[in-house]
Amino acid sequence: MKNQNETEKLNKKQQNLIVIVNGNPCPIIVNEEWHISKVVEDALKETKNEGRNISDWTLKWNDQTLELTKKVKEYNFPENAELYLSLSAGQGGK
Amino acid sequence: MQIIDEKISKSKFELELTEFRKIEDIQRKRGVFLLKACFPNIFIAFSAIHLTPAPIAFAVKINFDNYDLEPLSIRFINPFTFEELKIKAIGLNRRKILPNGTFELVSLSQQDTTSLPFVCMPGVREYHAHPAHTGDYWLLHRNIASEGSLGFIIEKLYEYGVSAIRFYSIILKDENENIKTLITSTMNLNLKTEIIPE
Repeated sequence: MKNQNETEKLNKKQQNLIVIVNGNPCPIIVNEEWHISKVVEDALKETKNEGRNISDWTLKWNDQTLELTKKVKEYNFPENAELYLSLSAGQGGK
Repeated sequence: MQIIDEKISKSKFELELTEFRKIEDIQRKRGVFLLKACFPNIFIAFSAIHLTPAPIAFAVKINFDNYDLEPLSIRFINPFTFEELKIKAIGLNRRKILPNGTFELVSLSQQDTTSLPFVCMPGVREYHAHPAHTGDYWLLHRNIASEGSLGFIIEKLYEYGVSAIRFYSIILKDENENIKTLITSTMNLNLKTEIIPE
């Protein structure tokens, strides 16, 4: 019974997100306790985009850059929120 | 000029177009919409959706000739005639981040040796072909983390081109090009259109 409750509790903390990696949609199930960096790592692994350092990538939601050190729950994403993950390239002059 | 087997470029064109179509509806909600796709070109328009009325900020032709031995080419076009535009006809600025953390507004595109504007960014054919970037070979970027892919290019054009547009800035000049009025609106521009009978 205790294990079942823990499982239900864990399931409640999970949600579906769609991470669009350089235009390639990748649905992933995340735990609200995860750091954003974990979301990025999983999305890059799933889409076979592991050739660059994680710090080279930028994750955005509603045009706002997400901080890698924050937790998923801090952003209150709706179910199936669309996040955009792209290389931080082309910042001419930086 | 196509120097590799056209079948290769065409199959990659179809593959990347299929990826785009999977999220076509999501992209449209952001103001990114496909105008036409016919090998070797894909025509995409970018609209500033936070404004009312929402304008087409710019449109591009993305060319797949010799892809991906060569990177994709981006040319700015008139979204209605598909005619390629000169740099003055674009009139769109982007934020250039300075070392001190501030920014200045610079043109979204730069002018290349053919006097046509181009996007100065690794992964873009005109960037790698430019004399200033001969040391930064495309083959060092190809197939690494999707850099230079159609999705990558669309994302960068959206990010630097339209994602930050939040207001209209209208400059009215007299016949001598003197600025008479500068209007900076909020997100809504109340325009009235009158039909004048001939």
